[in-house]
Amino acid sequence: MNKKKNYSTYLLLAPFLAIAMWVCYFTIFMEGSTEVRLPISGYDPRNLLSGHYVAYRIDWDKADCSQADWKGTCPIRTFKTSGRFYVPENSARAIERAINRSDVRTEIVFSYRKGKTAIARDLLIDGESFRTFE
Amino acid sequence: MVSKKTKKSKQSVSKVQETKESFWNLVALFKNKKEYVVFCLMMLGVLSLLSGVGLIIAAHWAVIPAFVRVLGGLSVLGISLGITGRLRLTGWNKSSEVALFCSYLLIGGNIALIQQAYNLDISWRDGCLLWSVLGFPLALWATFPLVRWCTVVLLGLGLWSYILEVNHLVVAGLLFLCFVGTLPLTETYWERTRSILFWIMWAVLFIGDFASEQEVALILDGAVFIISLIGLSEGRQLLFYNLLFIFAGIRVVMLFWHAHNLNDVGIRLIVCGTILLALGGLYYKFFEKLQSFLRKWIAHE
Repeated sequence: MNKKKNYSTYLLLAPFLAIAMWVCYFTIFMEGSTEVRLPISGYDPRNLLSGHYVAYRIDWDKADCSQADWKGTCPIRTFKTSGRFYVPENSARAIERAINRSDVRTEIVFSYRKGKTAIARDLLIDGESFRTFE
Repeated sequence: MVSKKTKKSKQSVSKVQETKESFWNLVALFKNKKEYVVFCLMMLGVLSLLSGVGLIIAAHWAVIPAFVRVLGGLSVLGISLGITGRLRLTGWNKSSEVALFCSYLLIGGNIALIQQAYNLDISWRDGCLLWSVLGFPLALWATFPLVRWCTVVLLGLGLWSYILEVNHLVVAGLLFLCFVGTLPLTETYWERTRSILFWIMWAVLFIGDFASEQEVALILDGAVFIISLIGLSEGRQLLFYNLLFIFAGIRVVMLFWHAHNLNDVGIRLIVCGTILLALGGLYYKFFEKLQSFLRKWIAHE
């Protein structure tokens, strides 16, 4: 009986370990990756479940393909053409206004590793991180 | 003298047990009038402390690095799972069931948190599927049906929306009807070990419906649904019918997976027909044996 109880207790560890491994993957991925900047165009829809995010689309025509080890050819398949970038609620309005201006250069900083799907880590508006927006 | 000592030691043991039990069973602590004031004070203290910490975190949420946020979420989940396990092993099943449900919710919260922290584009249907998969071990552990139903609904919603994406609204609607129709069956027959097999097969069948030959799978699904309903109205042993048809469904879907032209479909139809006939023949021949086996199995459950 005790053995059975102990055995089933391990079941509880399964979701914890799975999530922990998932987080470890992202951490290791980001630690050993190269940072690349790509220009985006986007808008700011509201999602009550996920909070505020910028739904962006990578503008490959304006992208600098000499970054990392790309040698003039952008690895389009490594990046999702569109994605979400989550921003704090109190600065969402300001970021939205800034992105919608045509004279502003908007970029996303990705953690890039050859052959792996890149992860967005920062949003730059005219070269400045979104964290500076209030 | 000896008997007095034994009595004393017995009393001390029972006192220790009482405190242990009352520590883990808040309701018992609340009912004890002597501890009432202490309990109220402690609860107020804990609540204000937790709300304070929560508010501070909320105020500085954007400043906190992603990794710290995720680690915080994971720690809360770990603590919740620890409390769940502790409560269950102590024997407080009702309290552990509440903690288990909290842990289940926290799994969903952690998925959302990771999505937000690492800017992942996880759709709600992928989230549902992921949540149901990660929460499955908890569903196996649950005694009350709430967590199991949550898993079932999340899995159903996720798979259904996948089917919707392939633009077969009628097919998707009927499939979902089939799915809903089997919910009461799952609830009736849910047993920890055997139900794993049952649910894996269901999941495979639904995933199989993404194939282009959906109509065939749909017919089988419909058959499962109707037979399930008949089963519900007649008795309990109809789970077998479900399993039989699900097996047949998986076979058919697998066979049809790579069909490219009408000839391929024709060959596969012949193979499927033969398998179904063979299954039907076997079933007809061994009906009584199977029925008695099934009755014994259910009685054992």
